[in-house]
Amino acid sequence: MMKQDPIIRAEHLSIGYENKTIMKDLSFVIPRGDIFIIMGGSGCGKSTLLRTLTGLIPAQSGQIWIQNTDFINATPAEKLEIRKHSGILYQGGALFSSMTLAENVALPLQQYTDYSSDKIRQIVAFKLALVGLAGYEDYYPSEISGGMRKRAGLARALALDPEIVYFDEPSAGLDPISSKNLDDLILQINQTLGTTIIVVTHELPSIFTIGKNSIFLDKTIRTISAKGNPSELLKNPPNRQVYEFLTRGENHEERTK
Amino acid sequence: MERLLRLAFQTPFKEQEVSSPKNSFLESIGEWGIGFCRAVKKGNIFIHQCLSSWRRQLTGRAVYRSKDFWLILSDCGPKSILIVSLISFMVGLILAFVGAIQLKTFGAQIYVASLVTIGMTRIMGAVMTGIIMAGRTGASYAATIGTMQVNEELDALQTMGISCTDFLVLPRINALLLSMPILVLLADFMGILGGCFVCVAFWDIPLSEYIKFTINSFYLKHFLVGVFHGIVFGYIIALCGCYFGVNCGRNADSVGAATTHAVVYSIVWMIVMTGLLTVIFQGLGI
Repeated sequence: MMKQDPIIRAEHLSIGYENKTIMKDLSFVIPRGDIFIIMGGSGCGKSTLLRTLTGLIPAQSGQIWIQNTDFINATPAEKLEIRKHSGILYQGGALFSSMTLAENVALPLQQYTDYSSDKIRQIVAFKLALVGLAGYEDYYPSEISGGMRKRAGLARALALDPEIVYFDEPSAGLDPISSKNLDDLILQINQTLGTTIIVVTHELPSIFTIGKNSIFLDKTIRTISAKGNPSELLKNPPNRQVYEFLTRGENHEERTK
Repeated sequence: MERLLRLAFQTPFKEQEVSSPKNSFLESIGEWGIGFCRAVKKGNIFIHQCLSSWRRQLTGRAVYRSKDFWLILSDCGPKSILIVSLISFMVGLILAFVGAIQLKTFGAQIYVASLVTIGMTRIMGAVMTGIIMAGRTGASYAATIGTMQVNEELDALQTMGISCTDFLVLPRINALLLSMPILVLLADFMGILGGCFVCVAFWDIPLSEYIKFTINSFYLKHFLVGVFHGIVFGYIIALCGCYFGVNCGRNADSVGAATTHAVVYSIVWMIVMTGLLTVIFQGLGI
């Protein structure tokens, strides 16, 4: 049923910067309520794809449909509407250093809602509690750890109850326990709120723990070389690159002997 | 072990560098021209965005936090007073010393007061304040916004649908536009005070005479020209600082380069504008 209701659809998408194409002919569908992993080796263009999907850089060619709106040709008002229903957690959290955690989380609420300051304070407290940061409202980003910054960034991304949340390398720079806690949080958000989660990562434990669907970006052919559930891809790898990536470099020929 | 050996032999050897054909002189000029045109276009787009933000501000639609504005204002206003005062005092002092040595040969060292007053109020006060603020505040703008670019904070703003120009650039421009005229006023006063110190302490000119000549040489038009220069310089410094911050790359080196560019371009544009304004004011008979 989920597959009949895509929240994002990309068709023959080419991505890159200025005249340099990094990936081409990318076609995939992200079902509503899915946890979708964009995986691949370092420098293959995962973050560039994420930046294209969020409208930070323009696509070179192809189509992106987000919630049935042609995102590439959308008017600024349509793009704003889509952005209101999306949240992004950046690698380092991207919290505004001059603001407290509460002010950071409150910013999108102040921007897009007419809620009173009391209600905003309540929502902020709730969102921070949701990510395990109750009581940290008045802390500045420089006063908390990297893992906490990411969770605060997630609270800000969830402030407007978005339908889609993008994660850019959520486990980067975290110890294994913090990384696992963040994975659990992602699963919890997906299950309880029904939010569609799109994660850019190359962390194998995270990929297998949270990933329901995935695409593998292959640097050598500069396009998608595999799609599907990560565990299924490990069982039946479609090519050597995918197998080696998912097994941390085990030799594919040896396995197929 | 076998895997390790295989991995070792897989090490790709450095390929022979293929020397890329060197551009001809004409091609180099062409590339430079294209780069220059792109930079001009980018700069114009930025100025247009700033003007649009300003227009939005007038209609109350610009988004920025008043708390940020007051913080920025306190940084570029009150916190700059000491350095602006010191430098302007020293400039007045130097002007008086150099002027007095020359004027003494004609027995006219009393006119040092006029020299310092006209010099400081018309242009030197504004130029010195501009240079100090370019090094202090312009660099700080570029470094702060550049670091935000590195930390993906600008991306976060953009994806939240908040205009970077409204949120970051506008309060900075406003703060400098407000503080520069006051700082120029202070610089004028401190420069005149520096001149007074030299004349009274080293050239035995009575204080009352110095004050009399200063008042006689003080023209409102010179003073207003100086303050106008200050406002223009404030705008240039804020624009350069914010432009290089917003267009900063995503690593530490880029922040350094953005800061340097912000200061250098601010000073260059201030000098260019001084030249232009001088010609215009001469033409207008001011």
